[in-house]
Amino acid sequence: MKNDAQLWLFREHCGFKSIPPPMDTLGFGKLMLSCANGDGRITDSERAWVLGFLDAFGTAESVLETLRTYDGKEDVVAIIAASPTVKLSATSALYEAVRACSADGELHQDEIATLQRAAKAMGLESPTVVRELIDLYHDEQHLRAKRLRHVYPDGIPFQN
Amino acid sequence: MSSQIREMSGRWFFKQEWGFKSAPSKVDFEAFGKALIHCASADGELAPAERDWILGYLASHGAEESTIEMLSNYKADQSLQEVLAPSTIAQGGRRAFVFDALRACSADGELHDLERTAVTKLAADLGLPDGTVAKLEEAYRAENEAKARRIELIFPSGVPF
Repeated sequence: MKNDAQLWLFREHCGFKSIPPPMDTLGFGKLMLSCANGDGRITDSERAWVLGFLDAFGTAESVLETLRTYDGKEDVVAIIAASPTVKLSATSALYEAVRACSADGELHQDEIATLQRAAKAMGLESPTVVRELIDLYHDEQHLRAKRLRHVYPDGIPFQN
Repeated sequence: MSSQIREMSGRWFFKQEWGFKSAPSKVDFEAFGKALIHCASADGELAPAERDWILGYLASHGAEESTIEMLSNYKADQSLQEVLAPSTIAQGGRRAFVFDALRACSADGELHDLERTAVTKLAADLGLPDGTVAKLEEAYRAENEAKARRIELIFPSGVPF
């Protein structure tokens, strides 16, 4: 059942046809939280987003436990240097970091600056890659909001 | 999957996809799953990709193992009215049923005319106005196209797995 759920997620979200081999989810989680800390604080919504995301992708409980209290003060360049798999999945990791930073409703300029530092450390030299990912994220959020207005014209249920 | 992890993951998904702050009940999961299977079977067969989509969707959103097991053997041999009768959210979630039915029916790469007809009948049975299916199908296609653009930017040489 766990595999059913994960395969659905990888297919639906990433377009994968199979579940990839285990990756360095601790490094990935640290990267997302450190980017979210770019504006000087990790909000509850940002941390909940990162933990829920990693949990949905099957991350070990011990990693989630570490990230529950991780302060996000490490330099993103050092995190990337220490994690070959994060560097390998560079653009994908950056996109998820954009989502994590936006989970509290605001993508702060200092978070964007941290994302750009991370992009450079990953070898993504194009100065526009972070902006393109942010634009794509906003496009998807706009379409999601439009769908929710169609689907729940009288308001979204389950708000308690 | 432990029940605690299932709940955390399910809550995250419901918030991401639907803006919910809590999850529906087991009864609603079952009714929802049966209704999706009913629609996806309307072209004469439930394609494996469609069944996988429905079961994976519900499992990822926190459905219990017993619900997934029941649905994996469900033959779509009840009417939609019977299927939806126990649901407490069928009325408020009518358009969500229709939207997810469109997604499930498209999981094998094609939204067959008979499936579209079945989804339209589902919408009518649920008392939704004409044009609802077209509007939701357009929303589904727009989201799918945006997803394809993102995947292309992230994996320019093709998806790795």
